[in-house]
Amino acid sequence: MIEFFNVSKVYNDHVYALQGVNLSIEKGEFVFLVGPSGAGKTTFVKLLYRQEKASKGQVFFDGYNLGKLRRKDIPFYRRRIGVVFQDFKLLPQKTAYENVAFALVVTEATQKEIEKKVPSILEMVGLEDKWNSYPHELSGGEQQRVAIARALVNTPQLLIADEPTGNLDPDTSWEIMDLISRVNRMGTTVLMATHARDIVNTMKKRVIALENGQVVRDQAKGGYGDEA
Amino acid sequence: MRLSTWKYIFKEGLGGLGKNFWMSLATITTVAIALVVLGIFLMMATNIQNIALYLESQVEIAAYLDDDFDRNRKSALISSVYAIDGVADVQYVTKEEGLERLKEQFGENSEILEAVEDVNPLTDSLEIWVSDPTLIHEIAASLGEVKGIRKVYYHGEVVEKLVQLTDMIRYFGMILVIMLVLGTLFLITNTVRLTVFARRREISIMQLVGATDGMIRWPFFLEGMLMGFLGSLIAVGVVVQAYLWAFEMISNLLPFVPLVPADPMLVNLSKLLVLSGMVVGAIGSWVSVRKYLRA
Ligand SMILES: Nc1ncnc2c1ncn2[C@@H]1O[C@H](COP(=O)(O)OP(=O)(O)OP(=O)(O)O)[C@@H](O)[C@H]1O
Ligand SMILES: [Mg+2]
Repeated sequence: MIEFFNVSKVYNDHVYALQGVNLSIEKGEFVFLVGPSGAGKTTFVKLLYRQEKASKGQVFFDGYNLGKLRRKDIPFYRRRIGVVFQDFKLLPQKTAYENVAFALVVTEATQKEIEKKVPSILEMVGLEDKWNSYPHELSGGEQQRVAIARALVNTPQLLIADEPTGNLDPDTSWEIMDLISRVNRMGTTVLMATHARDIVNTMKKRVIALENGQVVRDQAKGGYGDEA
Repeated sequence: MRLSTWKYIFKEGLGGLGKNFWMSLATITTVAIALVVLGIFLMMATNIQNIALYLESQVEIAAYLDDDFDRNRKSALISSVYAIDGVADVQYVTKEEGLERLKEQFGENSEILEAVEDVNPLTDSLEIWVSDPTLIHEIAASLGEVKGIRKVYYHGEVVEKLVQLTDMIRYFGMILVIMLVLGTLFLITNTVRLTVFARRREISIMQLVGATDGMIRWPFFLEGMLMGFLGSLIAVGVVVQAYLWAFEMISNLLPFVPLVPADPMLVNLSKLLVLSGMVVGAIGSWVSVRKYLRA
């Protein structure tokens, strides 16, 4: 489903964020992306949701060469994937419900469809009683649930999460991980960049480790660091 | 785009004002102030032009006729004067009327004129108004050639000074209007740009969720247009009130100053202000959003 062929990313002609990355990720996989700060994790996922373009090599999603994607096609591509961030990235002036609905509105879904899907997805993430709360009225964990609901409401094939638990306490982090695991069990491919050693070590999923922009380890049922 | 999408766009665009209340209020106020300044200046400029035009229309040539001018030839004479380029109006003044006017001018001392009453020394004359004071020398020369006209009088130097003055008024007025219009456009687009800047993060979030440019841009466009509209309404209210008040005051204190009547001017000015408020607001947000869409 995802293929990187000899991918390099250079910022400002001299910052090598990724160098010669080759890997592939299959449908339904759960993959952790780990590595020290500055290793290139965020750059890796940005290439995937087409925030950035590879400087060299090719990134494929479902057979599409993302480097060849035209600007006007990017929104349509992004509707096929869900993205979750450390800082949630919710629209501050919309309620939980409206934030989730927005992902459907952009696809020009009908009102009926929206009214059917949004409540059920909010229920799935455990927020059935917070529909009308604005982001600033929600805890970090609750905001992240809204963000996940928004990422999932279009039933994407791929969920990308860049340090989704980075701003959350350990208990809340685990609640979010339970949610993400459930999403994966329902068939969605998950790619998650993280620094959360405990989570990676406990979950025993595939681990791709980056260092200085290069893949230094790619291990099924791996752990966070060398001790695994 | 679907109808439901346009509904969403309108709801977002027009409802955005309440959600960004203080920012919108600041923008609307700025638009209002900028347009008030522009509006008041335009009214002053219109009036000054009007005064200049009035002064020019006062420029007059007097042509005295031959002593033995045959009044039966009056209309033929007037038509030949009208035929001269630049002549706006002609009035025939008989020598009796001329004497009356002199008496009026002398007022209480008009007894001195009684002596000449029976042997009126004046001749019939023409009063000629010109449409373009810069042509006054040519017109006067042509008048001198007309058969029946004995002598032509006009204040050439005064007219030249007047034309210089009115030309200067027009010239500087034009430059000031252009500068003020540009300043207003700049101020309004800049303010609108700030409101978009404050929400650039929202724009990037919408893009991440898969919103097309149009879906992001149109609500901002409507919002900018609405803010421009509301600001211009306030400006129209202030400007119209101010003119009516000033008009009344000046016509009382300085009744001889020819003011431009409120009616067609204020309506036109209001249309202009509302239109420019809306257009500039809309274009300002369109352009600023584009910048963040491409970022
Ligand atoms: N937009 C950018 N312009 C210039 N350099 C950048 C840009 N984004 C990232 N970099 C550089 O690229 C390298 C990789 O950054 P990246 O954000 O991918 O690291 P990361 O693994 O996500 O780090 P962290 O764990 O701290 O989030 C770093 O050296 C960073 O400074
Ligand atoms: Mg990062």
